[in-house]
Amino acid sequence: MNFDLQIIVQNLPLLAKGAASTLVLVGTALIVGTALGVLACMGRMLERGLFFRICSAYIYVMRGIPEMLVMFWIYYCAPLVLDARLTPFSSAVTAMSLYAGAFLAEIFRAGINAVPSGQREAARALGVPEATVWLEIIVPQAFRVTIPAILGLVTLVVKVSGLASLLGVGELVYEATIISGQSYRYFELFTAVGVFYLMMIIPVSYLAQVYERRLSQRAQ
Amino acid sequence: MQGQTPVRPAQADDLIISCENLHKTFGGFRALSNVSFNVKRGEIVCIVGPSGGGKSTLLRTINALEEVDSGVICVDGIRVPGTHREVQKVRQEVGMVFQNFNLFPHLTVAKNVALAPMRARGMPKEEAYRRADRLLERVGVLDQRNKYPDQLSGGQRQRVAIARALAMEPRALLFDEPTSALDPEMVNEVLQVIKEVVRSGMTSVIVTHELGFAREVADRLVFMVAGTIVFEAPPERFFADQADPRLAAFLSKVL
Amino acid sequence: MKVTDKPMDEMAHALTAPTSKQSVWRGIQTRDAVSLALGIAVLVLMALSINWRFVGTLDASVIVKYWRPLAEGAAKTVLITSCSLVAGFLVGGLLAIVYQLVPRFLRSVIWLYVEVFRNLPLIVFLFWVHFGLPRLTGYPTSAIESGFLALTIQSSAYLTDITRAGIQAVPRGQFEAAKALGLPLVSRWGPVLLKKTLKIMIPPFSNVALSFLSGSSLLTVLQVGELMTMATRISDFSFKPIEVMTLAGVIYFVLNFVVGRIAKQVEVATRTPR
Repeated sequence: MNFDLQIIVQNLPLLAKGAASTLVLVGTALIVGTALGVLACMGRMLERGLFFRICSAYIYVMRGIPEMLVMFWIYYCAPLVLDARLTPFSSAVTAMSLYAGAFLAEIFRAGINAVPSGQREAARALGVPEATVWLEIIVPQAFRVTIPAILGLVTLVVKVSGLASLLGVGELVYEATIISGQSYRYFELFTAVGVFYLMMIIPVSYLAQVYERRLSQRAQ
Repeated sequence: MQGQTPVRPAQADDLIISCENLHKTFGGFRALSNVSFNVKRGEIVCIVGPSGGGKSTLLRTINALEEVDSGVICVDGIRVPGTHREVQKVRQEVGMVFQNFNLFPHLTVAKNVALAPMRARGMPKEEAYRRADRLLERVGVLDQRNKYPDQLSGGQRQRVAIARALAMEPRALLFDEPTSALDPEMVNEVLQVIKEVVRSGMTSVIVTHELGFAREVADRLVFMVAGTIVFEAPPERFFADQADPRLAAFLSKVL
Repeated sequence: MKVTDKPMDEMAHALTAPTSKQSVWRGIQTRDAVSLALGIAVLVLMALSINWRFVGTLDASVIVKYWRPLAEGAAKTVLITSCSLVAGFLVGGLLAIVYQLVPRFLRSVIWLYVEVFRNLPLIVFLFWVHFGLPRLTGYPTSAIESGFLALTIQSSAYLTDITRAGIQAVPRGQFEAAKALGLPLVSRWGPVLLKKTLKIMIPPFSNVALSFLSGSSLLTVLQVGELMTMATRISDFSFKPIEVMTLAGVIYFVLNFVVGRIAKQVEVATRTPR
């Protein structure tokens, strides 16, 4: 078998468009997901009441079902149940955001719990406003601790973005499928796509590992 | 501000801190049993006793870091615990120095000290930092002002913690075993600073294991065991009078 | 004196202070009030946006009608996941052991394998294995073979790393002590290493297991016949996507829950008594 590089070169513009779509998809999902995650995390910290239960349910459900199911459910079912017209793109983004938000909520919570309680006490003992205790003392320290996990989630979202192709969103996997279908050059195209994803993900994953190692060194 | 001649104001009759009949249980464990404790303005009280005797718990109820199950605590006229606003006011007036320093690791030494006045009293930045510098000089760590806590030794960190507590110009200071987490060679430098601070007229409650130090600075010593105050007296009587057997046993073990 | 921003402050305080007399307003704990208010807001929002008339037409009898194919799908999901995890564990374990015994140069090869297959999206790899690989090897693979192969290789990458971490977690000292006592190689590695290694590996292994249980749903693109495949087929067939998809979601959730519980029990059971 001969590796036909030509087919990749020829279709580079299309593939680039797909890659750009992937990045838009991932970026949007991360932004919305962070907002959801913060809300859900605060809900969890209430520890009691209706909103707490709703947030907990949200997190457990999202972490217990496949992302693909969430995506399909939103695409097929949401328009019927919610009377909303959803494009493939918005369904994919919604599903990915919901998914990411649940994981982020847990990451944030773990981060906040990782800050030693003495910090909270010292800040409170000084009599500063509670908002200061949170925004200037706890969150900065929590953030540092959660960076590896957040980077891990970013790689997860990038991997999940490929599923959007099944809904018809024009991201990278979708373009690759279309081109392969026409040219029968599945091997070349999916190797290229694979390499591209690896180039996107491996640096992030590596960064996370480096950071994690630095964190555990600091703790000693 | 360094090297102030120790001046003790005339003992006022009003109490800064008053605790009556405090009870607190942690799970099944009785931390405080019917504790009544008062501190006059300008007084220096040292609380001593075996570990787990409830000393730290008592201290922490005063600035509402712990809540009592029953009993009344009154700090400078404000009932504790009360509304959020009241508790905040109490904490601004009563500073605390922790055993484990609890400095903010992501802020410089100077910012650690300047933060509270800026946020709690709305002090402008330059003024807050000037106050921080004065206090850091007073405790002897001004040259570390731009470093981060993890670059300092334990003794230096605790001194920064004292400066941080002083930044709010509190009416009273609570010290929770301030030297227990320090290496022996650094204990003295911190004790010197505490001595200077409390002798300048600061109402203080100090929980400590350093009996020599307590004897030197205290107006009154309090001996706590298993959540109750067993004996309290000024130092001359405390160390001389061996009427209480538990106190005698404790002193003989420690001294 | 600065005026504290009261509402923000109270809410922040409500979120964080333990049950306390400090955040009581008119006899109600601020925390409960906030939680209730927000909860009601969310529910009202949902109630307003849901098309209730349509919800009324939902047909719950699908559960009864289609339980058979869904159950078969679920069984297939469990089967495929567990088989590929076992296979992945064998490959991964082997690689981890090889990693310990092999010189620097070959270690990088193993490391490369692990990094590539851990970071590669499953869907890309699946397509590559099923559509691309046959062009290289000349052997076409059936849907289920491709699925199994892809899952096995990906899980083996995770498991190599997990096993390696497990092996390296045993303090060198224990190993040296066994050596000093003159125990032969096999019994050195056997009881001394194995128990500790397995105990450390269990939590991350269960995470991988759960993630692949959900990940197996990707095999639906090849119509492998596991739960997701069945769910989509039945939805199309019956025109009742909501009922079927929701049911499939419940089944996945239950599967995840059960496996999670088992993992927790195993974790607890193997904990060293103190």
